[in-house]
Amino acid sequence: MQGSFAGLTIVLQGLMAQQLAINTTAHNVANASTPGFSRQVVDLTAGAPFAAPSRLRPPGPGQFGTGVLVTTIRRVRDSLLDGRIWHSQQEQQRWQTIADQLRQVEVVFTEPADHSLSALFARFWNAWRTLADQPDDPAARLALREQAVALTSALQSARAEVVQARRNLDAQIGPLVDRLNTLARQIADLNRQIVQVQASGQQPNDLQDQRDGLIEQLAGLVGVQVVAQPNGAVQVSVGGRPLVFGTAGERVDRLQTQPDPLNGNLLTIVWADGSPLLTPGGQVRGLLEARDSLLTEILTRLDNLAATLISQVNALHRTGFGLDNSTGRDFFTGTTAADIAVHPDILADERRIAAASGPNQPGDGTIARQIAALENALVMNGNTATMGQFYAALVTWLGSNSQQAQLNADTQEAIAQALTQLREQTSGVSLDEEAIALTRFQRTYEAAARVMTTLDELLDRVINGMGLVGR
Amino acid sequence: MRITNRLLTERALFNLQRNARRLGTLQEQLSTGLKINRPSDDPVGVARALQLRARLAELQRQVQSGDLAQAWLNQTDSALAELTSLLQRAQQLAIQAANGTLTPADRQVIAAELDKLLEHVATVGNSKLGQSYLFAGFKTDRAPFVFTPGPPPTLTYVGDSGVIRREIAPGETIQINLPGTLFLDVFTTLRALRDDLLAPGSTGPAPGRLDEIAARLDAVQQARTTIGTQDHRVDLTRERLLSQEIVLTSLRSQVEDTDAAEVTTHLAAQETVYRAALEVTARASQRTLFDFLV
Repeated sequence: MQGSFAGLTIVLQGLMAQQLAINTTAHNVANASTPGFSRQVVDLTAGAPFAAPSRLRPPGPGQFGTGVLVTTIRRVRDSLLDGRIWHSQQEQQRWQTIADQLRQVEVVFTEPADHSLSALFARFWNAWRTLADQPDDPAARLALREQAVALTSALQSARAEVVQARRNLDAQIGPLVDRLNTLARQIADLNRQIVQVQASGQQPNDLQDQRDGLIEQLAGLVGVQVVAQPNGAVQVSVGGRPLVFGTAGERVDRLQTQPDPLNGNLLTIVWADGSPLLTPGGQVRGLLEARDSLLTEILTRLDNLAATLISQVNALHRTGFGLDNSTGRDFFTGTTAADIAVHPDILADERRIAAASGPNQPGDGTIARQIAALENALVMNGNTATMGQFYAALVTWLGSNSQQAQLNADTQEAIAQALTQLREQTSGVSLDEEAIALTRFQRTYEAAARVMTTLDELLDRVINGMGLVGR
Repeated sequence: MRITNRLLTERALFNLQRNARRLGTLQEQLSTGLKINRPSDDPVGVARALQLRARLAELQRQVQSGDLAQAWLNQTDSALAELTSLLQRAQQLAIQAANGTLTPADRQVIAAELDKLLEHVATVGNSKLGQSYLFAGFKTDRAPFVFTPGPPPTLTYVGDSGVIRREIAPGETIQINLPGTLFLDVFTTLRALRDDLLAPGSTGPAPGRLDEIAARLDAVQQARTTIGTQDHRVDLTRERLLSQEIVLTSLRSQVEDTDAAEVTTHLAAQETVYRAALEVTARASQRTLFDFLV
């Protein structure tokens, strides 16, 4: 036999369960546009059935229900998808970093254009041709010297810009490593809280969302390998070495930077014990690739070009004679694109430009013509290319690397976008869905309240309307 | 498939950005008029463009070299024309002096005119183009002929035998200057004629002198022919270079320049797509069930 007030308890459970469901819906709606939020659902089950206590077999029809129970509030999430998203993030950030950097360097090599390095080269060679035509004309000498100064300073400043680009990349590494360490600490903190909450039998949904978001950021920065533990913690490795570890994933290693004397004191990333960070991914990898392989390749090629220009022009120039009959002079000084310059002797007196093949031959432009012919001489790449072809190959190399990096970044972005959409399909909040859920919970709540009123009326009859005989 | 509101907005944003990027590329091509605005726009095309530009620059310079060479040749030809008329006058004087009725005083008058002509040979030999002496070999910076009036008048050559060559096409050079000996020979002949007339008991030019003058005239005429040939060669080369320039320029344009009609068409299509994407985005996700249910 049930007690008179059993129904009230059942109704109360119903009211409380609907209220919780409504609150969860409110939470979902409130976070509909929160990045990384997974929608949450309330799992309801019927309460444990109850048989009326009796010394004999129950006389009634059997067990009766005890109302509704909230088992869990769980987040809807596909953790396999997360792994794939993290990987695509890592690749996307790597290529985008390279693409952005090369795009900036392309500004230095804006070709074809009227004031580009190639145009200055063309004017330089033509200035020698003009001098070959008019070796006794001071104007031709001054024009040549002017073009030579323009060319050398353009080579120098192109190189300086690339060097500066490397320094700018280097300057980004420190803050990036700080961010990595902060993320690692935050992940470890969340690990600890999640393990505690889970141990008490509850679902740390929002903490897990937060942690997934941090791991995603970390993946984009440096690339991660993540191992989930049964206690709810995750262990995060970077470049094959644990960054966040421990039984509750509460411990962190530390990354730091130190100048690398073998690389012009640019920064290298090492672990707290000094061993190097191997095979990083993401933005860090992109930065290091751009800084240490792509940009250095440009510098090497520029230096190579400048060195050939200096040695070839000087070799011919030394055989020539100036208007002042001086001979054996260099036209350029320096050995690379960093220090190439017009020789101070030439700057001091343009009559020293050696256009003639012998002394006292002001009308002789033989040597000037030979120097101009260097434009079409195969002097680069083991005498297989002209200086112009070598430079064009440099520009093509830069352009195709830039194009390829942007293409890869776009592809990875599309993949990341597709995967994020897949995740959104599972975990995202649909307002329509929430509206329907809200309606359902509201109606259920109203119905439960109505049942409560009915029960109350019944009890009112029993308490106030019965047992009044003789009154 | 489960569709959420954020899915709609994010997808719309992604697609809008992609459309806007394409639109931006086309607009850049149209506004700059260039297909290649940076090496990554067409890495292979950029190398080709650089090659064509270098070739064009060299070619344009060689056309100028040809012009300068022609200026030199034309100036040389005027000098030789003057030398020719000078020799013709000397020829007339020689014929005149051969007249047996002339008195020694008459011959002296003729010799005096020859003195003037001799001085003029030096003047013509010292012809210049701008600041450069034409007949000085490589020593173009000073007058190659030093004339001393005498009597007897003498002419010394202080130039050298340098051969000035000019490049008028890739690897193609021509000689533009003439050696100063031409003027020395003319001078020697006219001086001999003058001496003939002033010799005591002169009866006119020595035998064979008139033939000698004729031979000098021939030599000058031959030099003019050589100069004319070179001049013509520069003309032909220039025509060749200019037609090459036309071909190279159009090749360069094909590589570098935007095909305005094509890009405008693409741009119009892309704008339509972009506008459609904007409209779709504006319409999507405006309303949810919340507007009706609750």
